[in-house]
Amino acid sequence: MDIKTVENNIVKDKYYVLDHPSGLTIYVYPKEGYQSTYAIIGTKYGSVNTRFKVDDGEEITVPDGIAHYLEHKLFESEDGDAFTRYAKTGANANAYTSFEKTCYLFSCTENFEESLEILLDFVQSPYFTAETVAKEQGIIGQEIKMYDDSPSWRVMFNTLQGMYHKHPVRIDIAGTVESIAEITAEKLYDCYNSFYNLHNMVLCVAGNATVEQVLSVADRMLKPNKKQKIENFFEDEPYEVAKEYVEQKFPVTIPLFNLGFKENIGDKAATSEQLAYTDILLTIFASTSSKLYNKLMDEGLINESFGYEYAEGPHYAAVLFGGESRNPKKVTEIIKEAIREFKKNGIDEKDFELAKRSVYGNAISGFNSNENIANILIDMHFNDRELFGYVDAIANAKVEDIEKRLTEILDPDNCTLSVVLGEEE
Amino acid sequence: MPLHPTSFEKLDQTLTGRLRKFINNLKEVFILEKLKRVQIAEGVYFNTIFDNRFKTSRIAVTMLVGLDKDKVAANAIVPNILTRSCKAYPTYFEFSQKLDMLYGTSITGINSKMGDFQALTLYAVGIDDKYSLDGESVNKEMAEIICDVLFDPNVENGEFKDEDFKQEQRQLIEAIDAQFNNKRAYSMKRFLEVMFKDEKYGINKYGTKEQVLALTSKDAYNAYLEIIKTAKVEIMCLGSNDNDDVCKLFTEKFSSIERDFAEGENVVVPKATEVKEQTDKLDVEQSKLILGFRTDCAEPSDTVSEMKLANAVLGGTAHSKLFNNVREKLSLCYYCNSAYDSNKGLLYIESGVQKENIEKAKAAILNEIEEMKKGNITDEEMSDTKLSLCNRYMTSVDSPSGTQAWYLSQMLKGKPISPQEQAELINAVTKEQVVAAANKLTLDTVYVLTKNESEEEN
Repeated sequence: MDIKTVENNIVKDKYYVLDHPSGLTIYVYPKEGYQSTYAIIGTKYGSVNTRFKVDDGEEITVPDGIAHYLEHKLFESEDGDAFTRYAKTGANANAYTSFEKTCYLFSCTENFEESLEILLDFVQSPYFTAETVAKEQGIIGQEIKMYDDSPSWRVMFNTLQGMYHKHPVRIDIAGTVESIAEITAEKLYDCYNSFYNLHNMVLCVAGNATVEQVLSVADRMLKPNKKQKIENFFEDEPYEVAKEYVEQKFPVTIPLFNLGFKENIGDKAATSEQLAYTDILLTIFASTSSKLYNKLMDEGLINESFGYEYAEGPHYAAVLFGGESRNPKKVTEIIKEAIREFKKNGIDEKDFELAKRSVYGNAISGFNSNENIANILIDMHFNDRELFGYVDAIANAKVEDIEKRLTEILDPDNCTLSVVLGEEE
Repeated sequence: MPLHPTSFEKLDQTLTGRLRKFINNLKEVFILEKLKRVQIAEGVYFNTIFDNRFKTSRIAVTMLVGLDKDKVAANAIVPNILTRSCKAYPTYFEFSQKLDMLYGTSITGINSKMGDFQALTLYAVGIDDKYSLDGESVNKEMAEIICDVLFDPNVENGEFKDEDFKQEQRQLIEAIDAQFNNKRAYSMKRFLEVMFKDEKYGINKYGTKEQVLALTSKDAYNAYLEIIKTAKVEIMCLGSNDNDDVCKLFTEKFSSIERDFAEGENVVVPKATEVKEQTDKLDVEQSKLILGFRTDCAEPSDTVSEMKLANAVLGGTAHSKLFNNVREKLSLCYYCNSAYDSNKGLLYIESGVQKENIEKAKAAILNEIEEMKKGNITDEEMSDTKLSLCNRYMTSVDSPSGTQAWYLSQMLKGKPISPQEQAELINAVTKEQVVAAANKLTLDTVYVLTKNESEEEN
């Protein structure tokens, strides 16, 4: 088996990549002096993968929210749920579903191999019956309701619904009470057999663990899978946003907003360089030391909750700004105007240098956390990026790189403002 | 009904063998022993934790003053004003640029409650010197900046600069308004107000909106002067540096301050006298139910570890009684867990339920507590929960913030212990002691946040 070592002089760390004969790719990132270990296994399958085809089979369409439902159900096997099994090893376990992946994880300080065994066992042992499927409707229904009550969650989904006409990123990860009612054991097996193939999965371990430990469990537990071709289908998405403004009334005392600028990303995932340049660019444009941020603050339009992020995944990418504001429309006007100025004037060398140092420091800090390392490794793997490539790209970035990136994103005429505001406003 | 003590000892040998092995291993590998603590002024302590595992270093200054409803708002604004500028970098813009230059070092001000104290914390985080691209010492500059911020604020004519004050006053008002936006946090805030309505702990950490509106820059500056003079101060440095220079710097700075320090008091009410019930109505999809108990058990009592374990058995893990029975088996709540605040001797159970299930959930939760009181705790529950808690303690110190939080809380309770010592204490707790702990619980408050009737009719 091929074991590759990836080292980096800037981060002063290294990790190992293993192509396991079962089909699973395994990453091991040892952290010297750490007592805990974080392990996560993920499949490249999230809420957006609702139309797909395996090899020469027929195209299948499944109900919204099924990836998340599957995550809940896989946690259970015939002999009890995974939490009960982890209780015997002391590991702290969890799972999550995002737009593009589903992950199962644990952290522990002792009994690492036993915990890893549990993880690899239950993700390979689906057990769905009509009865167990029905039981989950109540709990997931409650979870959906809880998100319905979260203004910050609603304001984000309203933004996505405003930006996208067709792309399934506009649909809630957990689906709706109606859509999950259509989920059956058979449909869960369809999804499981399509996406929970080890060739479509990755295991990342960070912290107090060695390659030998991980391999000994993997060799014992992993059942070889036949490689299969998965095709995901997405409808063509127009470049223009669907709606420029979305509003929802909510019991809130101060309005929340999200402002999303849609990017024309095509079907390729962003590269490490694109991510690094985007982060530097957004730091220049909107961080606490930017002219924009200080102007919005001085005018009393934003507060410390203001933030920004680059959200990207299969066939979608956008820059999002958000926070609390008494006047989100005014904030939008100012941001759009600042983008026009920014694009006209180009990037100041000193601003670039400061932003680069700041983004570099944040990236380095990220390597403190096993959890962070393992989760980023998963993202990087599913998008054909290398972990340290991001840090290298920051350290080697030039003003011209950022200027070029600026021409690709932040179109001031292609954005959606979403606002959640109180009943009386 | 408690079981015979001898049966515990026997179980202890068999079922907790795994835990023993766990604890024994820890002693060999645990490296966080290099904690140095010195008093540098009256009520001011400088702590250094040497730890070279991390990519960052941290300096945190925590100032504790008694919670006082007339001072809480003025105190609350101080960390925010201090961390936005200083004499050396007089505008927010210049200050932020300086921090960017230092590889995105952050300086943050936090206002929180710890027992009956208002904790005002300033902390700085920056990359460890070995990662700086040009070979400069980030740690040294970071220490200077946090001292600038604390001792040389941007002051004009005996008050904070007006624009700094105005800016932070507006943001504090917005923070108070935003407490209403997140319904889980809001229900928690309301619950604490109800349960502790006649106690200092019931004071909102920001004060009221009216109090913040009435503040002047002069009030805020006077609050700052009083804090720096009277607060108990814990300075904590964490990283690969020895921090002797930083200690010297803080010692010099504090030597110019005329300290007037007295240990504050944290009052704990041991038992509930009557059950307080409060129902608030709002347009929410999911109702919140919070039950508050007095435990007759708070720091620095030796029985705190027993209550910690009792809480974890009840609702502190993903295999707890509340999780398994109320959430999973009865499918009554999306979340249902308990937490124990050892400073206040408070145990509360928080859950998210559908409106029609509120009473059922409440009965099911109370039933789990009754079962514990009767001694219905399996040996498995005991050993699984111990293992889970120990895992949590040990994991927490694998991050700089977790390490700092651990040792800060240890300093405040007066009897500092390491995570593995805490693990040993937990491991030594018997089932009998957990049952005794459960029997100390008295229900004090039932808080419900639920849907408006009129909304349902619509």
